[in-house]
Amino acid sequence: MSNERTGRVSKIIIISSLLMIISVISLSASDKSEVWKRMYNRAFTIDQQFAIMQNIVAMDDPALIELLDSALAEQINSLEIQMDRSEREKKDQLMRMMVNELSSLKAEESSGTIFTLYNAVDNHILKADCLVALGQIRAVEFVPQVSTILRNLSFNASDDSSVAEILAYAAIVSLERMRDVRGFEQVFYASQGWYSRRVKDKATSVLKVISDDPTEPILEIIGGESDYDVKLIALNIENDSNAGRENKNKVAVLSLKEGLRYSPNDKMEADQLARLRLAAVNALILNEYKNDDVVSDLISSHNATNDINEKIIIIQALGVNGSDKAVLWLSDELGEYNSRQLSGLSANRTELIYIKQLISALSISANVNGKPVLLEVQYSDYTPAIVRFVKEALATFE
Amino acid sequence: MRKIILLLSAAFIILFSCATTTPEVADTETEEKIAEPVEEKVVQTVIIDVYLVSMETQSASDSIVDGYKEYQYDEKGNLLEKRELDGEKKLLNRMVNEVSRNQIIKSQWFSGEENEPGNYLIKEYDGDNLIKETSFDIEDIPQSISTYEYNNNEMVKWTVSSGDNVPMMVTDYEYTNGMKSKATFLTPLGEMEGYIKYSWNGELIESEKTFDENDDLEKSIEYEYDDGNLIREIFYKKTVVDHTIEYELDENGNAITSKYLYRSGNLKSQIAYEYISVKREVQQ
Repeated sequence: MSNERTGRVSKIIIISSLLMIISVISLSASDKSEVWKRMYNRAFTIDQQFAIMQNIVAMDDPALIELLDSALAEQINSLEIQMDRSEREKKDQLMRMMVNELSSLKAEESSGTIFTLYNAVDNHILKADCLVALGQIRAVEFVPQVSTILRNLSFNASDDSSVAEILAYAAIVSLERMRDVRGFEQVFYASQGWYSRRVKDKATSVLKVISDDPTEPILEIIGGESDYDVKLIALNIENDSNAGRENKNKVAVLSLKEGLRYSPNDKMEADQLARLRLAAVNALILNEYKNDDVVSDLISSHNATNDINEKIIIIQALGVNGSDKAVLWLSDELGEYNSRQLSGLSANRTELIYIKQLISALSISANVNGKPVLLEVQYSDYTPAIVRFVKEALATFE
Repeated sequence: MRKIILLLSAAFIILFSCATTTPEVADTETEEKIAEPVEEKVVQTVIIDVYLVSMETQSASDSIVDGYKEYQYDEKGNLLEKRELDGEKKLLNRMVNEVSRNQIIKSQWFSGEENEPGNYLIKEYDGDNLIKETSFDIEDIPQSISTYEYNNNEMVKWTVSSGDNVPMMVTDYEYTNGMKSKATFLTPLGEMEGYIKYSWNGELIESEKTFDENDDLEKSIEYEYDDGNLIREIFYKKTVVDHTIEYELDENGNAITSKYLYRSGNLKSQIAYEYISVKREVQQ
């Protein structure tokens, strides 16, 4: 079709469409918003306000935020007025409607009014709506307040645990939607708290959402928490997070220190501390920690355990660390076995596994300071298998 | 000329898919596809592609996605369902429409993942014209009634009454050259409470100014276009800018993002739009 004809048809479409669309244009959103706003301002009974508010909410119009906010403030100011039960219920329903619409419109300018409402009412469903709305609006200035609410609920100070559960769930959702790392700590404690599985599972899932990098609160938890298993959970959450290697290593270093810091009172505590140390060492390996500030703690961990598997993992961590300090200790350790071997004290099967791990660690370190002791191994009367193994290790230095 | 088609078609879509309660789906575009070559003044059926918003992704100023709105339509482009989801795509609320003979006859709201039913709206028509809307609460008690009167298909009066049918407010509409020029808000006793004046440049609306009963300006909206496509809305409180909404368009003139800017020009939030298209027959 030629351009000329296309243009002609376009014109016809416009003309023919005109009549059909006039009725729509004549009822734009501005008109409706203005009408409902004026009507609400004239309404004086709860029933009238409720009826009009339904239409305001249906508009879903950001232009009505100011009206919703001032109307909600008026409802708060009149909370003390005596009402019968049905009026009070209607008023609560009306306020819920307003809060949920402000939430839907993401009216950040209304966050103060919503938080005032939270503090002013007893209806726990309405309170829960306020908390969720603050999250939906992403009113991050209220992260400390919502965190404090959750902390107090986690202390189980409320007489009514079912109400506390509803509010805790709402506070967790709120902090989830705010996505501010300051909310992490209290959500973490909620995930370990007294709540039902539903609330705890929600808190656990929210931890992954709140922050990609929860290092800061995790360090607070590991440093301040007295329960060793809770420290371990915090470490594992950091390891599963999207935090960078540097931050994951900060947490692992602190966890290792904490695992060495306490003397266990019984076997259960000893096991808990060992698990914490091992998880920390594994994190250091995975994140290739190379600073020598951790070497003395790794050596202390090595010396604190009789478990050969734990020792082998620590030796690997020292190899990955590769610092002069780490290589010196690995060399000394291997040198001692070399001397024993030369003096006729042959290594047993477990010791051979240990020796192979020392050789492997020195190879991984790629630190030339480890080469002399590896050369020594070739002339220390080890089995041909060990000699072959050390030759392969030495090849990595060439 | 094509830009004018876009504007008019946007309103056409509102009429047939959203009635009067969901204006946000008006960001649409049409491109004509012609069934047969036609000559002027010959009645023909024309098939047009109508673009409808299928998804809005809402982001905060730090670009974190904090919500979605999903729209579902029937094959004729009537809005069947609107769902609001949080940033994790969990359902917050939804609106479900019932459609009969290409007109929405009922809208109902549901809240939360539990799908808790809320209030609903019943719509009645006379031909193509919406003549009555009644909102009901969850216990089926009428809450408010809107009635609409027409003169040659131009809506000239909107009356809002209480659920028991007591008039509460009347809005009169005036037109100039077929375009709405004034909406006047009146009490049931006929006392004027305020009005909106509309200015047009051809078929493009240029401004809406809201005045109080003393003719003092309360607020206004100015609309700016690029080659006939809406690119900016500036909102004033009295004469001071309150905020601005800016639209970024694709090569066809469809809005692909809208940015809500504070008076300072700093970004508050933005919405990214996705579309589907449906084919419509237009008699002419």
